[in-house]
Amino acid sequence: MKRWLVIIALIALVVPAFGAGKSEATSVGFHKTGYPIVDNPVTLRIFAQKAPLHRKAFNELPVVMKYEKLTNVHIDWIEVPASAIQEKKNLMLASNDLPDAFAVNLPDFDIVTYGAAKVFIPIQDLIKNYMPNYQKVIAQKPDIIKFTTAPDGNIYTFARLNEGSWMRQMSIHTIYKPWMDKLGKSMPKTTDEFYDLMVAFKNNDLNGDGKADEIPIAMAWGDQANGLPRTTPWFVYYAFGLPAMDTGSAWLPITDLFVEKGKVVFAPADERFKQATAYLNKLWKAGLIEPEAFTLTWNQLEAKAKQLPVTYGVYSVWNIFDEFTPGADPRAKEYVPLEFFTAPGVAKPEVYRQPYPGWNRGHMAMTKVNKYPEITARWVDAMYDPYGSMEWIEGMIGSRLVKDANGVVTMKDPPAGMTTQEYRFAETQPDMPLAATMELYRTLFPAPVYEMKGTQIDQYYAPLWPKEFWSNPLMSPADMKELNAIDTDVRNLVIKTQAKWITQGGIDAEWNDYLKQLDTLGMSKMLKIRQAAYDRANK
Amino acid sequence: MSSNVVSPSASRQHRRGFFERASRAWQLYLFLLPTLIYFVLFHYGPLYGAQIAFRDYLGALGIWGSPWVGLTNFQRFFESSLFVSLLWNTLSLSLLMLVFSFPMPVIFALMLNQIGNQGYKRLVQTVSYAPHFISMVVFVGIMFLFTSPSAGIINIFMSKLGLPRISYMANLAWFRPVYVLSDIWQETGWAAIIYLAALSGINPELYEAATIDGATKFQKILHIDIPAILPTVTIMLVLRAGTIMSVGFEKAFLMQTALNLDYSEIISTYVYKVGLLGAQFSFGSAVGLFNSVVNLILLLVVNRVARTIGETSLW
Repeated sequence: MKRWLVIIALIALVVPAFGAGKSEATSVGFHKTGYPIVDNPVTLRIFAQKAPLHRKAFNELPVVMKYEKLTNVHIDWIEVPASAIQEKKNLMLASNDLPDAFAVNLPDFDIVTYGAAKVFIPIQDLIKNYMPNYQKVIAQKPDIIKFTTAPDGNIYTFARLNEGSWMRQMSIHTIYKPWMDKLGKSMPKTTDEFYDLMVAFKNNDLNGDGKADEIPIAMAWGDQANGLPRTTPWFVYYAFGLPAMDTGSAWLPITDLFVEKGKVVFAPADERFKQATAYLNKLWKAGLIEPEAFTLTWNQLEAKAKQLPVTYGVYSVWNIFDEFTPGADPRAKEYVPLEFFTAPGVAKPEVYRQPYPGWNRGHMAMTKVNKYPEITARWVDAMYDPYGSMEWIEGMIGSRLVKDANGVVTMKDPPAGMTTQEYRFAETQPDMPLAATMELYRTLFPAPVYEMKGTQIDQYYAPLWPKEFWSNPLMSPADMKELNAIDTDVRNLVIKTQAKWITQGGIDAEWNDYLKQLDTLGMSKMLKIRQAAYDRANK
Repeated sequence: MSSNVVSPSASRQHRRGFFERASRAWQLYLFLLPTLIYFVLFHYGPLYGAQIAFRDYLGALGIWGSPWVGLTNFQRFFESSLFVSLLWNTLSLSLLMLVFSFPMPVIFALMLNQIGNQGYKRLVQTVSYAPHFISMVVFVGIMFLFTSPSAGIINIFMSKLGLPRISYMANLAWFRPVYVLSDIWQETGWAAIIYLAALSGINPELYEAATIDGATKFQKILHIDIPAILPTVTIMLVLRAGTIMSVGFEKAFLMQTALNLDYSEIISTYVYKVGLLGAQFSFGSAVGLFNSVVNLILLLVVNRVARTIGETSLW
């Protein structure tokens, strides 16, 4: 008797294993087209990024709830704040504790490595068979295929397109015009004029409060994720002819690389970087940069800048209209874009140019544990529908978004007490794969609040973009592995040394040693790999 | 002669004696069992994962499926230009803590013990160990606020005295002093508790005898108090030695700014950046393993030395 029980128990354990390999879509009433996607509700476990402004759990956001009702797919979100994304994602991938999909901007290294290791599943067939909306987007922008295809020929990730005109530049450098007017000065044309202007900002009690509390240049390196890319005075680099930025945040592709006459150049090893840093040291020594630049975080700097009376002369931010609401705060118009100037001997300032602005290559990948890849694909496809993209990126139609008779959607102003972004994040989780294309913004989805930044870019930045730029092509897993190791060490060295040179000087004496150190850490190898990739992509 | 020979019957008796004793005190062993299981499961069990340091680990392949690379990761670490600075940063912080932060609780306990007024003594003690309960994140946040050149009380105080304002957290030379001094502030009161406990166990007759002999207060401390807490101090020192290489990751990491990285990048923060953030798990494990092995060797050496010199040791 006992023996029979054991045999039956063993069979009962083994049999389900035979069914596990096949997709289970059929058993839940999957529909190839139309909504709902499934008859019986299905749950997907998705890893996503939680923004600082998200106050509610994702499943309480109106847009998320609407799509759950529409598609009958329930999402079990793993919500992770930006500062912990790298760590948590790496841990999950390393310990094989995989969600059904990662819906965060995956770095190239992850896409290529985990794609090759078959942790991420190829999706090109899913796109062909189940995603009509995404196919329409691809038809409009065929570069997406090249952009997302890994060296082994598979596509592992969905792209996210946010082609708003304001996405083309990371930071807008603004200067406080009322102070310039008080001094009777106009925009500086050279580095010397800029220096003199900053000294004048500092010494003349321009905010009229009787205290010497004016800080000519705002800067916050206390946090590298937000403070460094946004607030560093990159225009100093541009003035010396160096079109480069931040030393590699996870948000953008490596931005300290640019291309000159077909050669890939690493900005922090260039002679012009040396000159720019020496100039920054000059500014620092004269007390013209925020003295707490190296301990303040972006949030702290932002709070300080919002206070009255005004203390910052030059303020670099993502979007000045996010900081000061136009119409409500006069400073939105008073902080005007700084016109770029040049150093002696430089013909024109070179402004950093993003490859494929607004395009994220690896915005969502499905893992091998996903039992419902077709269902997931169809769920994602809803976000590529034009109105789906609008809703996911800005809020619900009928709530924050208003659709008129012609199908044009506009964004409502925030209610009293909320900023634009707070209102947006109370409605939706915008960090998902979607396609808010330029065409959409120009026709059915005008965004005047954001377009103001776009106009600033058109006027002051776009004319100064170089023709060549580092396009950040995807490379093989072996290459990416080497680059990954080198990049971490190189980046730490550059940040550390640059900070020292800005505050203490000494760049002339230490420059050659620094170059030697970079080489020891693998810089020349890194350049060789990237040059080869650039040449391949541009054949 | 015969005393050197252990008769067979005696050894059998000895062995039987142990089990007999054990079975009679089985409740005590039962008490011990959960902790034992905890250590085996969570501390000894996972040790098999340390082999990641010898492999080229990729999560998808699992630990056993990842290729074996032997000592490549260790080699890469030792040959890296950062090796010496990481090692020296870690060691110097530990040694500074040992020299400055370790004796403070002892001195503090000795002084506190001399206070006659019990109410005042208890007040001082409570106030002194309050900072221990502040979490490290909050504590470092407080430090940033206190040392801020524009609004921090330290700098405001300094400027009133006519001294220049210094941004302590963004200053390389100040990193180590700030690290050690803040540790003294946070931990002295708490660490002194164990020494106070040892001091309270001293027989009061010793003091009376010393008074009769005409000893001064200082001589009493020197000849009664210090010998009494010396065993405790030795044990604490040996325990401390075992953690020399694991200088607080949290504190160093939170205190890091672009300007003090030369001193604040220690082995554990490097392992975090490279191993976890940079997803180089094998390399990170190798560095961490190296760290632990050095710790173990130091612990064994210091324990041996303590045993030889003072007869007090961990084992």
